Amino acid sequence: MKRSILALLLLAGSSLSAQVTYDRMLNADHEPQNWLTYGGDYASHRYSTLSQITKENVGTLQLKWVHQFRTLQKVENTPLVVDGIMYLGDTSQISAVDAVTGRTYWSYNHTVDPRGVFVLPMLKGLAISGNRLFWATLDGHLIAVDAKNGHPLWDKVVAVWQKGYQLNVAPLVVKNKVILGPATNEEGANCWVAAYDVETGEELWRFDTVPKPDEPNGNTWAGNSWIHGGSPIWVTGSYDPETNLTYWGTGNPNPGWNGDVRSPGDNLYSDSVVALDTDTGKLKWFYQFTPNDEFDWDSVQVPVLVNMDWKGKPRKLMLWANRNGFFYVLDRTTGEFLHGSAFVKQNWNVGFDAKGRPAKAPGHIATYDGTFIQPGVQGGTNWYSPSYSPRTGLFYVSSWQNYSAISAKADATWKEGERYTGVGKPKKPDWTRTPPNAPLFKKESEGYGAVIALDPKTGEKKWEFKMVDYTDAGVLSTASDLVFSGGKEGNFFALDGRSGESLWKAGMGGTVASGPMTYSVNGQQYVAVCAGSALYVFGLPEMKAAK
Amino acid sequence: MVTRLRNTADEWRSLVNDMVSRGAQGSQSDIDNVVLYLSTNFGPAKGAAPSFTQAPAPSAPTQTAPAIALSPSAIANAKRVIAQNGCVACHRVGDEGSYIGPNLDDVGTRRKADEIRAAIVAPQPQVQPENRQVRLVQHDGKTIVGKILNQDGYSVQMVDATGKLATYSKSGLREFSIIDTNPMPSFGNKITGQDLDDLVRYLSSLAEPGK
Repeated sequence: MKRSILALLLLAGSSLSAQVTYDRMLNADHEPQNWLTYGGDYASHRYSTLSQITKENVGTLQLKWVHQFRTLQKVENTPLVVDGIMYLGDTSQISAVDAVTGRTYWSYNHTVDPRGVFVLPMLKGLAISGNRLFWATLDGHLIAVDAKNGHPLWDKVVAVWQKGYQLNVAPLVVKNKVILGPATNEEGANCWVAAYDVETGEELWRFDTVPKPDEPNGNTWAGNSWIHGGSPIWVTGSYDPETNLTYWGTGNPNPGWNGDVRSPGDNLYSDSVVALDTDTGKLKWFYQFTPNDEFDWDSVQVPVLVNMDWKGKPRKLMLWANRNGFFYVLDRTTGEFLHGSAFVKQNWNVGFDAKGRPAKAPGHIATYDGTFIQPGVQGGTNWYSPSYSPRTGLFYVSSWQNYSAISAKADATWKEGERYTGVGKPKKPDWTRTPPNAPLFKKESEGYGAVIALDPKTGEKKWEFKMVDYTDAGVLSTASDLVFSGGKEGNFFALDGRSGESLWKAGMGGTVASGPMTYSVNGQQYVAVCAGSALYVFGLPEMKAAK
Repeated sequence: MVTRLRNTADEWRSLVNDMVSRGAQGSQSDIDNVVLYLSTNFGPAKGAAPSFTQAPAPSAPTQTAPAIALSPSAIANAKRVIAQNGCVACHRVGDEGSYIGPNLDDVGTRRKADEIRAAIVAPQPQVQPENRQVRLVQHDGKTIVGKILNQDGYSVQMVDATGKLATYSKSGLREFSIIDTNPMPSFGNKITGQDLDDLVRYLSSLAEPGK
């Protein structure tokens, strides 16, 4: 009798603590109550089939609970939810909390080396495999933590911050591999994508985002410029089980604002998407969005993988709204360029050739005096997660419209431990149409933020939801055709995914600079988003009292 | 075309003198004001960008007013000039005046003396973005004009001339217009000589408490 009760308890316990297997991740759409990866699924749609919150009732959403992070920085975290437990964190602490009440089960701290000064002091998220959470810390540690009690299982330094690196990406777990890469602290430290063993932390493969001169495409860097080429990783990639490829966007070359030392040359694989064999890390194909970039247009957007008809034939595609202001459609099996069209005002590219190489507009290059460039340095969009809804067939992305900057270069000499940017001070009058330091007083012609819906078949803008201020927020779409996003104005809002009409909003008292996500527990749907330095969770009022 | 030029005060002085020698009319005070306006707004480093709608950032002074201690009589004279010229119809000084224009209580910490002088005798055609006003017309036709304090896609927060703070929902409006033209007229012909010097020195002395 005693033994059978124990067996029953073990059985019950195991059903409550089912491990997050590769199979579960592959079929994440079968368990929409959970949010298993940074982008919601391997295809990074940031779309949920949950539909309890509808256009009709979204106006009644209420705040359910708040999690305060231990930071005054804005928080960019997208939490994970697995079977009623939420995993989230900032740069110094990660926690497991009850997804219904917000009560903390455990927290695990990591003190970032205080000598480090990092350009992007944020944590985008965690990854999970089995019962292990993976946390990439600012100062270069990859730490595996037991998801049940918060105890560290292994802790490896995978990037040495003293050499100019930082980690702020949410890792991607595929099979037995934790995949991620470092960002350079704009210090010209060459970066990579690497896979680490989930059990041991051992490095299994590495792909360098700057090839050596004797490697393929190594000749795209002039002279010795490849030694400090940068090309960082700082946003999570995607995975396609059909091709077994993992796709990652790469950042700008160093020095970012002065291409002289890197010229002539395209500076591969900066500002590109690279398609890597998930088992070996070998490069299958690449596409470079901005050759020889001088405008800091990192291509660290989240690759959105979509199967749909393209010119009458079913095709495996990749959708990509780039910081350089163009929306791209690529064939994700071969990397073939299929479409490129501007989704914001731009003045740098006069067109594409058949292979998708942009023709740079004459005179639109960085100068010592400064050149008027659209979009500006923050881009038409940036790292903010877009969303794709298979129901509406639309691609949703946060954008900076009518936005410009003056791109000025300066001489750049690499010195260890120093930023290697070549950024200059414009000597011409301030041409940028965005009034500096006055984002709340500007007119539309001077720039505005907007969530836009693009038809991926044409690049056509179907609707636009305007904000006065710009936005760093990601976008979530759901099966009830709702779109959730926010912005620097400090609002978190729900839009009609088919028209862009605003259906609900909440003033968050701080900028929304994260990707919203949704989950459910006991049949109740929640929507969560970080704003300011806290996570806010909303749900419908008729939900049962918190347990 | 000339406004695309960027010159130092001495260069503008030389250019204007050249124009006077070719027959340009004006009193010495007028000529001084023209040089001041040009060198303040079209100086060598920063200043107006005439091709665009944005008002220029405050520029570095190209002339520095002599530091003369303010006498009680100069302060009294400056206050009289302020009262006689109706400055408080738009600006606030101490406990008096409107909330529409920039508050002058701390203008001495925000602007150099020559910038204050230029703003009085030759105001720029557009205001700084933070000083923009907005005109709202509600669906019932009611019009509200005030200074924007904040806004988002949904609402605008304003202060009107009387100091009334209010939020207006943008969905309740049929018109929302940002006004960036400068309503300030030139006082170049009305405030002159010692009055102008006293006023500029008085305003330059006004500083934010604690600064």
